[in-house]
Amino acid sequence: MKKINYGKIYTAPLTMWITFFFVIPTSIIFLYSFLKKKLRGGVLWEFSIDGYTALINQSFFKVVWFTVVISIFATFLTLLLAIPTSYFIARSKRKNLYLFLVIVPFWTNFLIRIFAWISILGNNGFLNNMLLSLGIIKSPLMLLYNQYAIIVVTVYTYLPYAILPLYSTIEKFDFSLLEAARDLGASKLQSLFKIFLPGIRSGIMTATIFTFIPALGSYAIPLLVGGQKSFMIGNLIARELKVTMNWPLASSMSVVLTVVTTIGIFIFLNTNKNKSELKNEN
Amino acid sequence: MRTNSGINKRQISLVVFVSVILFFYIPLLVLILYSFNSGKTMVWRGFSLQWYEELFFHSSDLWSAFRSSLIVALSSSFIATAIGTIGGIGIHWYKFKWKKYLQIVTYLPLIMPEIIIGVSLLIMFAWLKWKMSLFTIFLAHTTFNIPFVLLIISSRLDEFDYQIIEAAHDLGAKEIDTLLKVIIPMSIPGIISGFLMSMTLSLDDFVITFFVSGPGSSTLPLHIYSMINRGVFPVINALSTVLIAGTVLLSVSSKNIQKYMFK
Amino acid sequence: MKGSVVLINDINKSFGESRILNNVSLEIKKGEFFSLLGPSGCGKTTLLRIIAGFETPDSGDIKLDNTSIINLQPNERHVNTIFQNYALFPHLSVYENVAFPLRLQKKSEKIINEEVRKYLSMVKLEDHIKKMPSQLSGGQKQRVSIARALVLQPNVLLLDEPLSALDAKLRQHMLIELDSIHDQVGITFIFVTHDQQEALSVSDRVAVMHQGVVLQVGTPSQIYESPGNSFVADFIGETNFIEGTVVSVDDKMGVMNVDGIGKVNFYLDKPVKTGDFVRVTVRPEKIRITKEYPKIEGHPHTIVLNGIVDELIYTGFQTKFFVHLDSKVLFKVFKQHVKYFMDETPINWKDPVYIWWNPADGYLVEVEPR
Repeated sequence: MKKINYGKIYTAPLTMWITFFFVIPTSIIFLYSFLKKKLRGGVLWEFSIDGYTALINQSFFKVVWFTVVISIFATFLTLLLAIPTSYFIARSKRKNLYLFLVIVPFWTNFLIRIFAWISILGNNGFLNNMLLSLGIIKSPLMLLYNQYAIIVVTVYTYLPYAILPLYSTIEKFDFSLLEAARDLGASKLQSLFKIFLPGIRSGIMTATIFTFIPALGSYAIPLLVGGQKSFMIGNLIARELKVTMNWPLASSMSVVLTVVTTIGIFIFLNTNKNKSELKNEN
Repeated sequence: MRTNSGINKRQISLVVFVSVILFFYIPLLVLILYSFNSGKTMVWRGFSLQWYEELFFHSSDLWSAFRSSLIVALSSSFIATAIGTIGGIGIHWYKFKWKKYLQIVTYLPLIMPEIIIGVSLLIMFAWLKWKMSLFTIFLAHTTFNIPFVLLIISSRLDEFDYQIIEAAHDLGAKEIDTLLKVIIPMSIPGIISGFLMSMTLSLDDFVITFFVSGPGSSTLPLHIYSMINRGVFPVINALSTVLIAGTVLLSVSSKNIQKYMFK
Repeated sequence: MKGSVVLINDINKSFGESRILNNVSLEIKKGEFFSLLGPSGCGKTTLLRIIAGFETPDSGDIKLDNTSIINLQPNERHVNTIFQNYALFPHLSVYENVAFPLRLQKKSEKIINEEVRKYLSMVKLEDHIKKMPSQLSGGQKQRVSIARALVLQPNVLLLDEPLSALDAKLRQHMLIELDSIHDQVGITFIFVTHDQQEALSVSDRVAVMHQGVVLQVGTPSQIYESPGNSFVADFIGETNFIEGTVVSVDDKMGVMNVDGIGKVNFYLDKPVKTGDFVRVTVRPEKIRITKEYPKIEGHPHTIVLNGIVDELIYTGFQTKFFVHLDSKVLFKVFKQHVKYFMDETPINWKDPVYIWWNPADGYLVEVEPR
């Protein structure tokens, strides 16, 4: 009976926008990664796999490895802090106030949040000054510009993104299940690992994706608080794009980053599926 | 009741929660405190408002960057909300060919690393020989805002039964009446939060903006970045304090507005 | 006389492989309160949605007073629907919900005000005009949706399980109110329900549906007392089936041989011959139960069986007995309590009892010729 398909009309602007400004640009990257480089940016229209052969060297592998390890560490730490925090908020009587406390840093400007850590950890920063004036140290510690600083700032940045989805899952969790498990003979740890964590699986999944993916694609954090040696893939891409002007290489690196991200998500979703095959979907 | 010794979940979670809150707020409080320092460094030299004076009266570049940010945020949020709302309605309540693919593709920007979106847009704009300007920043921001609006709109629409649409048709409404008098008014809370979310993301974005901006098209985050590089720390402290205060004020008021409007 | 004749002609509908409606034809009279009754998945809701215009049938026609409406959009049919989940517009007040269809027709503010108030007072919601749907109870929401559907003065009102979201007590109450609204507006009501109590208590006629087919159309008492087949007999109320082979037939009575019981008399509601396989339904409230052998002088055809009480369920106004015979055949017997409980000889669990009924109180539902 419906002669006009309004679904198509309503989604037309969306389809066009996403095609022009997402599908086409990402396809161009893929295309560029197989072309020859021009000296000052841009490409020559000749097929070449230079963009990929240039990746096969130890220093690039090191950067990829470094990026993955940092991201895993940061994600793990974030979850470790986020789960008990969300649990506490979900079980407390002043949920709204506590959520508000989490949301304020979430809304605070991203660069301001990074800057806050620069002014704390810097050589002339708050922490060094405190320790010096208390006489605990004699000369400033090198707290900034290393991988630890990257991890701390990454956790700081993405923790709210992990807490919010976890909170909303934990809030819906039926806590009488834990009592039932204890009643049926499970120890506290067993009921935690066999009932609670699987029960909030979807929240953990969202939190992991919200932390791990931006961490893999980090650019600003290593740029501002990482040192010369702590380059992540994002920084390499930006360098090839804006400094060395090797666009095919920047493109092939982007393709690699996309692939690594996809593999990461895939592995994660898959291991999670296997673990929960016997459990009911909510 | 509690016969087992050791600490329980509640105590552990309390300790973690308090640490997390301290972890969140100590850096922000340090910024706020040192914005009132009369010295230039992180050594306390006494109370002063000189950095606020510098911020408000001698930082015209910063304020023009702020203005650019606002222009981009408002325009991109407006367009993204319009496209996302109508598109979300189309995806949620209608069946059509390619719908599944459209759904997947529109959510991809959410899980792609930001830098890929920035780099790909930069390369495409360069290919098209478009000059990097506030306009290219607007295009990029609209692009990353759309999926968020879609997400929020469709979760709002999830709350309603399709029977409501059928009821509208049944009572004599044509397609356009149903859209304008039922679906959109009903989605207003979602539309508002989609718009606010877009504003926040747009005002906050550094990475994508960094790639698609050109000379003379600085936004606030880009300007803050250049200030960090130039080492003008105390003014950033003052700016941070103003921004944090603004954030708190906005969150409180938006919470109250929402409470008032959609109890 | 208001309301329309609704003619449903040979409707077929499939969703993919599954056939939802199979050659459904019905004639619903002007101003009738007509029910479509059947278990979930029987196709009753799909039929209603086809009448409303939300679904298109694969073939067949729907006529309103001899005019086909099958090609009209839902907004062009003089048919309105009451939805199961009320489907109130959450952003509009009670008043504005009811005014919605009138505003679409660009009626003047004065007319809108009069009509809205008229129908809101019909459903007794005058005092809640300014409230939002979220501030109403389930019953109140349903009243708003009734007023909203009636304000356009449709010829036919479709009700899609309108009471299923309400609790039992409220359901009874709303049912009576629906009946009185039907009397006031006088239009044709088509009421979809899976609840036989609801259908029997308010309808002029009922159509029993099963697996996309209309099994029987009739008044509530016809449906209950003379079910068209054993599915209808079983679905409407509770019953006992007695089946066997006919051994002899005379003028009005037949005798069948039933496994585990022996010879049983039955009334010839349909013609049968010796050797046919027959099935008779006897409603539990039509079977009497006593501890002593009953006095049956003058009623030579009465069937008397003896058994043991297996289970009894006391529900106040009646007791439900489950009695098994020596042969393990099980009977349901409902005894109405018409006296104060001390005045009756109590029948207890495991008591030997006699159960008996008059063959005229049973109904011959099915005959399979041999």
